[in-house]
Amino acid sequence: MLELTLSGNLQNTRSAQADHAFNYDFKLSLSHQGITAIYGSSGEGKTTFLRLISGLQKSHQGKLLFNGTVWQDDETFLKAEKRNIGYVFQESRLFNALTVEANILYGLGGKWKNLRPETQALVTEVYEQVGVSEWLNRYPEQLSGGQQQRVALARALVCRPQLLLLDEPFSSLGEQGKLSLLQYVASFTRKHKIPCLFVSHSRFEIEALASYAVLLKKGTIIAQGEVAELVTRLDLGLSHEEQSTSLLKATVRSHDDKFSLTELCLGDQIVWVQQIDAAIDQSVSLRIFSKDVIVSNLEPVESSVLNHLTGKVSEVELTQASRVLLLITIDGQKVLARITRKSLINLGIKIDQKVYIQFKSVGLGAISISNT
Amino acid sequence: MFLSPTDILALTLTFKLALVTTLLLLLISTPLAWFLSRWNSPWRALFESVIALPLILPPTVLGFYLLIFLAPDSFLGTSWYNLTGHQLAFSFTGLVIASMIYSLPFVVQPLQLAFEKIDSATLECAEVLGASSWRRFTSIVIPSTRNSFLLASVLGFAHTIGEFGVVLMIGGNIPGETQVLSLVLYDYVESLDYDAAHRLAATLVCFSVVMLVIVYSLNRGTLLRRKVAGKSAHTTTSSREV
Repeated sequence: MLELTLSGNLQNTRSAQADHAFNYDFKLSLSHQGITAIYGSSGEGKTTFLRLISGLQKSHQGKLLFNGTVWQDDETFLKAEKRNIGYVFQESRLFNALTVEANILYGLGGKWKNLRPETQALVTEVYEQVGVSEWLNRYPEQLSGGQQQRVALARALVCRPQLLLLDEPFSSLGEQGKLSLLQYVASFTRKHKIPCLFVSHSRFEIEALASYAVLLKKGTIIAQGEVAELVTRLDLGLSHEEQSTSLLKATVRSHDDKFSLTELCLGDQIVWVQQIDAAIDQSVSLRIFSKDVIVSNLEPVESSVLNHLTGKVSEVELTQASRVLLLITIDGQKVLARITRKSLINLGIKIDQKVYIQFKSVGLGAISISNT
Repeated sequence: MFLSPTDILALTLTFKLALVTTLLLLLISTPLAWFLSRWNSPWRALFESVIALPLILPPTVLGFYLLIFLAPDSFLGTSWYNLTGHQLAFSFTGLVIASMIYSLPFVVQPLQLAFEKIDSATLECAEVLGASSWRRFTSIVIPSTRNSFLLASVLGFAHTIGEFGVVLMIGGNIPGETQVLSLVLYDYVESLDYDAAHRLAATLVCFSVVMLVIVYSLNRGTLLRRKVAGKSAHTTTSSREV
């Protein structure tokens, strides 16, 4: 869907030194539909990347294609206003002279009565779901920061753009409000088949929403792939972060109403979690923090921890003088475990060795489930 | 009658001149002010100085140069004569041109200040939403700078009515063509006809006050309406933010 090779430089406006130019060289071929996370620390070029795609910034040179349409090459440059993109900026950027309703309908021409009935239905649904229906006659300055960001989201969604760009949106909303809004974005884009690029520096949000990610560093794309795969790659920074995680795919096998538990299949191994609201055979994603993983070379007996899985050590990397990262393969899926170097030596762990792992808790999508 | 036919003629002519000048100035100043507000160049200071020149230059100096430039033997005067068969100096058209130059900074500056306050981030947002540059200007820029347009119009209009030095130099005091109020008033004072001068001056003062009150009430009205609309919305809404 999105193919680009864009390079150039720009004066870094955020930097105090005026002579500090930011160089970028983005190469990407992205066919993933749905939400793609754009991940990187601040100052690595995430916003620049979105601005180049939107056409608000023109790359010095390069090529940009969306679904086969040329947005930029040596001869052509399609203006931002012609790209039919939805863009939710870090700040809400509302039009202060217009009411909330006029703000939201701006991309549709501005007048409710000129909309077709099906568009009116869509707009009404967005009003309800984003939670702006009670403020339609107000002006932006009469809203709180979080309310303004909701309006900005509604304004982008009602246009049913062919590509949605989210640049660290909803920072003024509380965690819960943010997550429910992001979940609505996910269901909206799925329903209307809108690919979405989602810039965030919160790996929690990314793991909860995106299945695919693009990693940026110093103005280049260093990796792209399934989030589950990227988080366990030892050559990338994600696995070395303090809050590093593994994401495992599992399917629902049964529910145990007596103990309020759900049985999940992970390959031919079983994992019990607190009962979840999911149908049998539905696939779910388990999130395990690498610091929560307990590794042993004997099969665990008699403990309060419900689950243990069997796997094979596939990689070992010393990260600090005291710590190592183990990559353990379980039926083709990878689990990251962070243990001390002392334990590694005491257990005599070697590559290809069979180990047993236990974990105190697993997360499921955005919901954390206790497992003890 | 309260005002003499000469007074009425001058009054009509003055308002016609102020109206035409203000409308033309708004047409020219809007793009000019927009351009200046978005232009990042060392040359900008030079352009701004040239536009601001009528603010500090004695009107007679301006009038003198305009007389030279608009004279029948000047390039501009000759071209205009060949084109229309009329002279520029000592004509209503010449007076309009002179008034426009004289009042230019009073219209450009409020607009430029207002435009500079408009955040390009907001305009970018409108661009992404598919708005053409024309729509961005009419739907975002103009509504949020309405008061400055009003101010610019009032200043341009009032300043044109009050001009004296420039029209004295290039007007020629022709009744119905270039004899504006300030010149008639000057003539009355010269001929020591203080009664006529009082009548004319008082009429002008009253009219100016009434006009300004109307304009400022209109302006206040729009502001009040917005506040009321906001308040009523506020009372019916419970906070849903988390």
